[in-house]
Parts: sequence; structure tokens; C-alpha cells
Amino acid sequence: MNRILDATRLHTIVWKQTMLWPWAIMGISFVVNILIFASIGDAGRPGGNTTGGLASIYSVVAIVGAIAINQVFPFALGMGITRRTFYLATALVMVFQAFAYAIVLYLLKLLEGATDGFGVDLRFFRVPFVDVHNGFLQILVFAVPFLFVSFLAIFAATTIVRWGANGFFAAGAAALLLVGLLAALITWQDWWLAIWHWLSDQTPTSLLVGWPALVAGIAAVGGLVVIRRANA
Amino acid sequence: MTVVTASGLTKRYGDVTALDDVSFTLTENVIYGLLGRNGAGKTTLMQLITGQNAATSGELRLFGEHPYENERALSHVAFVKESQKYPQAYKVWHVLSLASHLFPNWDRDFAESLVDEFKLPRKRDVRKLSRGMLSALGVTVGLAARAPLTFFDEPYLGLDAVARQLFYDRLLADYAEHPRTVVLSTHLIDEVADLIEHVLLLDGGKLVLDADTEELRGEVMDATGPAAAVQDLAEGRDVLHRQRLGGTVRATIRGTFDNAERLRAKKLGVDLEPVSLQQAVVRLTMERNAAR
Repeated sequence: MNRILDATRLHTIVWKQTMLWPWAIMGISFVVNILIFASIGDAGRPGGNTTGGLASIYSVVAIVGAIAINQVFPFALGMGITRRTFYLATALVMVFQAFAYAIVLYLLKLLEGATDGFGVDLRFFRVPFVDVHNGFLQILVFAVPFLFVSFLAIFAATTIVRWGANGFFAAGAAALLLVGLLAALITWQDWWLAIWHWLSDQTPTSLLVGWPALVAGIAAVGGLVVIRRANA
Repeated sequence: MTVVTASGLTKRYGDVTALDDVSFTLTENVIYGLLGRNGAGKTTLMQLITGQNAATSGELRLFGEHPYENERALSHVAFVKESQKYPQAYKVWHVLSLASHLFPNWDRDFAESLVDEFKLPRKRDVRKLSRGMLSALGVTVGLAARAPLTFFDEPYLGLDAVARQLFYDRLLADYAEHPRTVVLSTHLIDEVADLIEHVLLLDGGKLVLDADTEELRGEVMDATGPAAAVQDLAEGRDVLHRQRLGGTVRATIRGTFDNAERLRAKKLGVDLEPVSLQQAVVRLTMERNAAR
């Protein structure tokens, strides 16, 4: 366990760079949104000035996750760290990051609510549907998508580390084929309506937290399996 | 104590056999020279021992255990390689700080003194280091780690003669105070000839020589003198190389000469001289290739 904590420093030692880009890019998206809605003026749209700008931080965090594997793995291996220790350390950092970022987003959401959408009725952090009133649940709603994108990106990166770019594209092609076949099967069997009903029956919690967390967990385990046989 | 045991170690990449049935042991507190031409399998061998790669077949023990994914065994090993990759965001001090946490025997003062001596800029991005500075960083990590088993895989790339000498001097001085097992993989055989105590020579994936340096020095001799006399002396011995210059012949001969034979050589007017380690290695490798 100690060794895993030591290995987390491989990532945390450059925390400034790691944190800078997700927040900087989200910040730019945020400022642009403020400027746009301030210049439009009070349109009095029902539900306020909704934007999907929050997605920016999630996409950058996904890239950060991929870099954490791709660039640090060869170095970690060179320093005598096992693949397993490196991976668990990386996963630990990603989980910690997801919750830390989620708490910051939650605080920003409270701020947005308290300031009447930063004075321009902006709904940047209070994304509709994702807006849950229970504080702890809201943090989870912010955190789980971080886990979801991080571990999918990490899984993709482990395929590169192990099999090179060909492995990555092959995995992508296989996934595409699988999804396509599934869609064809669903259309052929006329299951779309049933799926829609099933989705509508899900609680927001299981849709926003439960199922993405499950997918993230599967990707996390898959990444470990793939990286355990990756070589320098 | 035995540090590494390999028997029948083989590594294939597709139809290329990088290592072919290699068997040897590394013992505690010896400086080994892992020699061989490009593509001889040196790096592959070190990658297997340090768990960076898995063998195709054969037995391998590192501190008595399987190296692959073995935390305990690998924490006693430092592997400094010319091709080491560093994350883009790292600065020199990041690498040193991480190494200080990851190597149990890390000596901070030693590391600092090496950084000063190599004039490494602590705050510079690793990706902006020159080839020589990158090598100096690797050497610093490898030395200050004081790992019970340390590999240097051609660690001198881009280092000038002064910096290389600094590396050899520091290695020898620190080794005297803190004995450990060091494996030095290199092309510059003559430069390290005084350093290495034991030679492992790889050629085409096979281990062709596994001998003490001293033993090897006495084993290959240059005999220079009149053609007939040299011919006489070389009778029944392995002649690795022969060069004729007018009536004088210089033959590189394998085998030892006792005092009586040395006296006889003197009488025949033949000069007997041990060849340099580099010459011995070159001759032995070429002989093997010719015999193939």
C-alpha cells in the first residue's frame, strides 16, 4: 500500500499542470457564456440561460487520464514499479480527483444559485436534469461522470500502451462493430420502445450515478487486466 | 550470495530470437560488464531481469524470485537506460524527488553532489535537456539509488569524455564504500576495462563468454616476432587472428602461457603481450562468427 501511495506521486508531483488545463478550459467556456448572455440581455427564457459548457471540463479530464497512463507508464516501469502498483496508484489519483473536482463544482453550483446565475441568469453549473437537491447526491452526480470519462480514457490508453496504436484502433473498431450489431439487433427485434420505457423507469440516481459508475468500474478492471501484460 | 540466476533464458519476438538459451548467475558485489554488439540481446536481457518484459522460455530468478510484477524483488533494482522515457511535464527535480521516494537506499547528498558535478539544471524540463544531460540525469539516479542491483544500459550517450570519466570515478568510489552488484552494458570496452570484474559477452542472442576480466586478460595474448618462431609457438593453440608485416607476424593466440613457455618465447625472439580487453572481446566475437 505504501508503494502505491509513493507511486501516486508520479502524478501528483505535476499537479499544477494536471489541474491547470481542465479548469482553464472550463473557465474560458464559462467566461464566454457569461459574455454571450450578458450581451444578449434579459431574454427571460423559461429555465434561465442553459448551457452545456460544463462538458468541457469532463473532456479535458478524459485527456488527462489518457496522458497519465501513456506518458507516465514507461517511466514508472523504468523506476521499478510494477504495472499493478502503477495502475492502482493512477486509479486512486483519478478517484480522488473526481471527488475533489465534484466538490468544487458543487460549491460553484451553490454560488451560481446564490448570485442569480452570476447576474445573467446563467445555468452553467445547474445543468437541468442533473440538478439534484440533495447535496451529497449532487456531488456524486458531478463525480461519477468524471470517473466514467477517466476510466474509459484510461482503458483506451492501456490498449495503446500494450498493443500500440493498432491495438487502440482495433479495440475502437471492435467496440463500434459491437454497438452497430447491437443497434441492428434492437431494430430488427423492435426493442427500441421497450428500451425507452426501461430508461424512463430508471430513477435519475441510477441513470446519472449507478449505471455510469458500473461502466466506469468495468473499464477500470479492464484497464488493469490489459496493463498487467504491457511491456516497455 | 546469488543475485540473479538465469537458465535456458530465451526471448523471441516473432521469428527473431533476441536471446537464445542463455544461462548465467550474477553474484553479490561484483561489477559486471555486459558486452556485445548492437542487437546482441543486451537490452533484452536487462529488460527480462528487471521485469520490463517476459521471457519466452527458461528460468529466471531475481533475488530468488520471479521478477515479473514482483514488487519486493524489483524494489532492489535500478535500471538506467539510454532510452528511458520521461513524462512531458517533468522537470529535473521532479525526477530526483520521485526517485528519492521510490528507491529505499536513496542518498540525497550523493544525488545533490552529482547534480552539481554534472551541472544539471534542476528546474529545467526534462524534455528540453540535451542528450548528454539526459544521460547525466539517468546516471545520477542510478548511482544515488544505491540499489543492490543496478543496471546501466549504455548510460553515456552524449556524455563527453570528462563527464564519462566523472561517472566511472563516482561509480568506483561509491562502489568501494557501498558494495553492490552493478551491470554495465557498454560499447566502450576499453574505457570500462579497469572497472569491470567480470565479463558477460553476448553475440547474436547467445552468451559466448562468461569469465573474470583478469582471467580473460591472461587468456588472449598477442605474439609478435619472426614468422617461423610465432608459428612454432602457436603450435597446438587457438589462433584468433594473424597479421603479417614483412617477415614479422603478429598472432592473437588464445590460451595461457606458463613461465617455461614465456622463456621459450623470449629465446625465439617473440614478444608476448596480453591484449586489451576490447581486443580480446573483438577477437573472440569474430572467431565465433567465422566458425559459424
